[in-house]
Amino acid sequence: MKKRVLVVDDEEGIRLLYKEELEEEGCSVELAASGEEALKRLEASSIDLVLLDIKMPGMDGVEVLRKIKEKWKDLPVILCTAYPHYKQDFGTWASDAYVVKSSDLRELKEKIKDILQRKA
Amino acid sequence: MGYDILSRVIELTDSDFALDVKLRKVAGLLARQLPVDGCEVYLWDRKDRRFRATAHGRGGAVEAYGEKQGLPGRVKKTGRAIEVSKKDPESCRGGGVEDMGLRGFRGAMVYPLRDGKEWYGVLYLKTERKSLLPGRRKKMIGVISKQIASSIKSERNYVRLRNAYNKLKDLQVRLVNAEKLMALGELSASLAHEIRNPLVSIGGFAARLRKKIEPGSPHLPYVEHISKQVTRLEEIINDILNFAEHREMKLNVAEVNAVVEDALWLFEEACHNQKIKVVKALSKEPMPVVADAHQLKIAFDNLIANAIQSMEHGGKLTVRTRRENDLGVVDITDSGGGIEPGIIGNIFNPFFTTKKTGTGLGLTITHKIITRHRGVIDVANDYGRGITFTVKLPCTDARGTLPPGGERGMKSSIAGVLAP
Ligand SMILES: Nc1ncnc2c1ncn2[C@@H]1O[C@H](COP(=O)(O)OP(=O)(O)OP(=O)(O)O)[C@@H](O)[C@H]1O
Ligand SMILES: [Mg+2]
Repeated sequence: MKKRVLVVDDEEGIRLLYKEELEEEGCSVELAASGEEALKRLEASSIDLVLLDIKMPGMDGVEVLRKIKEKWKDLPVILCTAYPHYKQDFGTWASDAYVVKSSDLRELKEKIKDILQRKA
Repeated sequence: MGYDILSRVIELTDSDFALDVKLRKVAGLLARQLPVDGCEVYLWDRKDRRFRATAHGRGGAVEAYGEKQGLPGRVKKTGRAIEVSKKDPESCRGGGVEDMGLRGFRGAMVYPLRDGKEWYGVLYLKTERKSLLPGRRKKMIGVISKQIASSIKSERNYVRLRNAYNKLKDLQVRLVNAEKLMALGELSASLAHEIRNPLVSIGGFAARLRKKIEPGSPHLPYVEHISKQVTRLEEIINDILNFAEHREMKLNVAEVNAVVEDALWLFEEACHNQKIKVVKALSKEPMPVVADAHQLKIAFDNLIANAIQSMEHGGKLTVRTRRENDLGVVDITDSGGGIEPGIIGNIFNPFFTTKKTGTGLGLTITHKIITRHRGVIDVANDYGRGITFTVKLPCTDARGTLPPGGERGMKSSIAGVLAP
């Protein structure tokens, strides 16, 4: 069965890009443009992995991460950000992986593969 | 005539000459214009507690008097002018005081140079004649002494003021630098967000397009150009962020000699092409440090790159390492002429460059990396010849524990001036 990935990012271009690329990798992809929307999606459908942008207007990624981990303890989350130094910030430790955004998606795809395999 | 002298003294003390020049001119003037045969100014040296001969018009002078010695000592004690005359010009004794300066003279007058409690020195007039000056003249010399004292005072105040001003200016420069660095940190953080996200889209979709374009299509190079430029921009952002943000350091035990050797290796060809002789004197003793070897190498890369860039027409690059107790020390010396002293204070500032193609971040990054490793950089600038950058890093024991309090109060310095 196809793995279901939820992409949470406030930028439309990035949502579209991730969707197309991940579908090519054989995932089924859902999109959310904000933290609030992401949480709603998670309630409504079963998801295997979340790609979460940190810097978003409204509820930011770290907050969304906390809420996800409260409710769905075992749901893997990959944090994506433009800032490498977020790595050290408290709060991000709870994520399963951390990726600095890049136009080269290989690292991201590898992490996704890793995590989904580990889960299987 | 008396007032004539006074007005000329005032003119001299008000002039722009340096203090010792002024005093010499005044002493010369008095020696010429008054019926005296010697005129000396002694300045009180507070540290040594001595009067030192600073100026004399005509004749030699005793070089210095102790606090209680001779006529100056007597004047200091009583706080008032003193006047002595004696029968035998060859004796050194006058007015009950022994003073070598009296030999060969018949009489002397010594005036205090002071302002309230503050002592500046004495004005010492000597004569070979029997008679001393008439009372009217004495009064005038009293006034002249006051004028000299007040000119010394204002000179000292001026020096104090100038020092204070320089200190303030220095502080301000450093504050501005700190601000610049902070601004850079903020700037780069927003840069990262504002630019990195669009770049992900541009580069990501370019890559998708590339997959769709048939191999051999004339459109392929267009897309490849887009991808390449995006990668380049992303690298620039990474560079700036790496230095601006406290990137997590990947700490391991690294051997300084090996890191230096690695860095040098990179420049072998450039040195060969530019006819730069490389002298490598690496320490036989091990120099293990707890470090992010990659970052440390960047620091040395920058220093070596600068050295090589300073020797466009050849020269000598010397890289020396040595163990100094628990410090690993690396000297990188070039023969590229050094840095103009007027700008050396700026070299660690972000974006300071004198090069057409420099970004001016090389030394800023180097400084940051070395400081993060609890080390320091010293700069010894031999302007006209070359420059030596010295990096000192705290060595570790073999277990790789960070030595406690690595800085040990060490501070980076530019030839004695503290680096930002
Ligand atoms: N070895 C040296 N000899 C002479 N001048 C030097 C040397 N090292 C640094 N400088 C001076 O200090 C300036 C700042 O150096 P820095 O490495 O920070 O920037 P840059 O070399 O100009 O540019 P970048 O390293 O970013 O390409 C240089 O432009 C140069 O004027
Ligand atoms: Mg440089």
